[in-house]
Amino acid sequence: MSPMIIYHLVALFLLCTGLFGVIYRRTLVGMILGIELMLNGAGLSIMASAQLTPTPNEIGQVGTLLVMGIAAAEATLLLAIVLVVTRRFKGVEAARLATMRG
Amino acid sequence: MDIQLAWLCLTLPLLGVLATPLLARVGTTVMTYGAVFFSFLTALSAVMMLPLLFTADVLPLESKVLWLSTPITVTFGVLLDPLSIIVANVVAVISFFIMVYCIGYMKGDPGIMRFWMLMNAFIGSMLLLVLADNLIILFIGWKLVGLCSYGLIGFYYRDERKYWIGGPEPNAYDKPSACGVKAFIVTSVGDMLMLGGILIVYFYSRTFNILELYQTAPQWFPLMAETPWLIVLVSILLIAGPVGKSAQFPLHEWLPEAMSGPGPVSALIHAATMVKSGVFLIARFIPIFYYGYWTAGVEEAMYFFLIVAWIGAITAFLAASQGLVALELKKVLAYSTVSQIGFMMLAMGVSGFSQELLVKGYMAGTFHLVSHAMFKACLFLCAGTVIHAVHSIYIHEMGALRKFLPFTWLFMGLATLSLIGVPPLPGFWSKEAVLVATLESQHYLLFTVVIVTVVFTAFYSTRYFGMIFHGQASDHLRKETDKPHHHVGEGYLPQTVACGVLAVGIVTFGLLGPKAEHALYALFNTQLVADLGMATKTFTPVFSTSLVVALSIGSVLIGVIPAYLFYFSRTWDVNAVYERYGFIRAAHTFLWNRWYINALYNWIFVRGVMQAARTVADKIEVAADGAINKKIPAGVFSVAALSNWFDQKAIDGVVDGTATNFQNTGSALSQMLSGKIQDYLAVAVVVAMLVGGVTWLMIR
Repeated sequence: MSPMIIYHLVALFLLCTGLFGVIYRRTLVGMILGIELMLNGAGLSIMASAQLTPTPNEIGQVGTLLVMGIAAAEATLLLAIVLVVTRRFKGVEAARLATMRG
Repeated sequence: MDIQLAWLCLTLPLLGVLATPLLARVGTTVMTYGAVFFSFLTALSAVMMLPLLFTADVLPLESKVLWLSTPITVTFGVLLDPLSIIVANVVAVISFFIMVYCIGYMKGDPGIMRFWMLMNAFIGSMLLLVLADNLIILFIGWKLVGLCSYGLIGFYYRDERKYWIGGPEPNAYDKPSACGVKAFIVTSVGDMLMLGGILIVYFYSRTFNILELYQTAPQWFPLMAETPWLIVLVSILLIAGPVGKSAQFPLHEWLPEAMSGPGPVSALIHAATMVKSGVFLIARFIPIFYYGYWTAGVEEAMYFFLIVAWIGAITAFLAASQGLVALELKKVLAYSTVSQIGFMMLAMGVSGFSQELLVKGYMAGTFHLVSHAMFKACLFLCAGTVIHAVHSIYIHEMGALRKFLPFTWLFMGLATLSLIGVPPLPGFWSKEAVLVATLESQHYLLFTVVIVTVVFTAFYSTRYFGMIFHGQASDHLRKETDKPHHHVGEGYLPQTVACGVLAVGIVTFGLLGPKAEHALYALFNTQLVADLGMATKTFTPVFSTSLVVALSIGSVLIGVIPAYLFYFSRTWDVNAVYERYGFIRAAHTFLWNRWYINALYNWIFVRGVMQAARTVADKIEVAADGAINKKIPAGVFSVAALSNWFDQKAIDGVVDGTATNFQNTGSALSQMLSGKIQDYLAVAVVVAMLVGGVTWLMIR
């Protein structure tokens, strides 16, 4: 197994863990953590690809920085949403947000 | 410089669209004059292309930039040939005068910014359609004008009571928003068929460019002819677009309803320009099919011309007959427009019937297009003024308006005389050109239909003019004039000026009529014979010109005289005639209901599949009950009981059962919608993985 594949397996593991978290955590905060994990998986994958291929390393670093930036911005936004949800639904459990039930 | 004028012509109105909201921030007056200024610049650059017509041997000019370079290459370009220059001038110049009219007509309207933007957008897309050098760009312009037309028909989208059309009282009304949708859907039927035709042509010719299509016709046209009936299919598909856009039979039903837009919109889009684009497009296709029949010897190409000519003749007759009884002023004019466009189509179709007639028919169609655009625009503008002054859309609620609206009386009178075909107004010359072309084609049935249409035209024109401006004032009008501050009179100054300029244009163009006809003939001779190398023969008339003139004037008199006695001098009483003869009443009902074509379309398409089950059940029940109650004596109760059982168990059972099943399915499905985001996400992930896996396996 080349380092490339190992890195990507780790990234895939992060992605799957994150996805699992988003789907099965019961609170919104847990879901946010899952999303962060998925983004980190993406960052890792970009970084590894840039380092281990003839591509200039800087591209990967810039890309990962971008992912991190987006993750930070998105975390802020999500926390704001969580605040609003908390006020309106008196709690952060995802199961309560079922007003769209058919 | 010349070809840049065409680009300028295209971009100026679109700049106007963008500038309108910016100017609106300065002020409404600034925006109004700004919008009109842009259309003035457009008209100016169009007029500056006219000198090219005098040096016709440099035409066609083409300028293009690459737009798409995928396996299919599409260029974005403009094409200047006599046809496009003439039609572009009609569009740009007439639209400028209509915009001037709008300054007065639309004063104080709350949606005025939307109005100016749509008007300029319409002018831009219409010029795009006319000047486009390839069929894809042309199609884009084609759909854009449809879109602007939709927006302007439904301009009063709040559907206030005073903007409804239809009626009067016992009859049904239509709301503007519904009318816009109807127009858009009906024309889209034609558009989509036409797109199919264009794509089939592309499949054989490998080019969308119009000039290349003409030049490479020897290669691809015989190839296409190898498949039997394909040429006929392509003809029908290509004709379907113009039929929809130009409101020809069987897609003519949208135009009368399109009159729910503001008056000048009807003048611009539904009389002078957009509805002419169908004729324009037929003219674009004619060289191809003419080449196919007369040079390449493909028999099936003749169907193109036959279909066009017959559709034109049928529509002319159909619409003119409906115009005989209509009461709404703008609808009379709409029927008249449909019928006159039928004339143009007929001329275009006739041009392929023999080698002598190509240039003659082509010229007649274009000539009628130009002259009709002028007088019909003037008619609609005057109609807008009249309707505005009287506060009624019905001609039987007008009467004796001459002393209130003297200028409009004069301008509308001139335009009406031109529509009837009175020498020396342009309508006479162009109609005569169409008649000559039809007669020389020696299809006497077509000619008879056209002559009858001329009689009808003369009758309904005289009728509406007499009912508006002569005779006695109606009760409605007296009520209006009795009000202390009534405004039964001329509209704002820009309105009168615009109508006046168009009327002067009509008279000038009419006096130059024969000269214009010769000039057009020479132009199209250059375009079709010298440039495109169509195999024609010199035109040698079989019938003398005086015969055609005599027939034309004779049939005009047959139409005008009774109408004059009915509606001007009122020596004959219309109502008495109507009451006395049953067949006239029957004909009136038939024509009033537009030959029941609209009702048929409503019945088939609008009530739709969703209501079909219920409707059928109702019909069967009502019919069965009626038959049982009236015809069969009371003794046959058992049959009734059987029928009743059948109703309840079989028909109602099926209907109810369907409904119950749908309800059950619905509630079962709604169980799946838990409302929890995470459930949805889980399903989405599973589906994505399945799709991804299957795709991966297939690619491998």
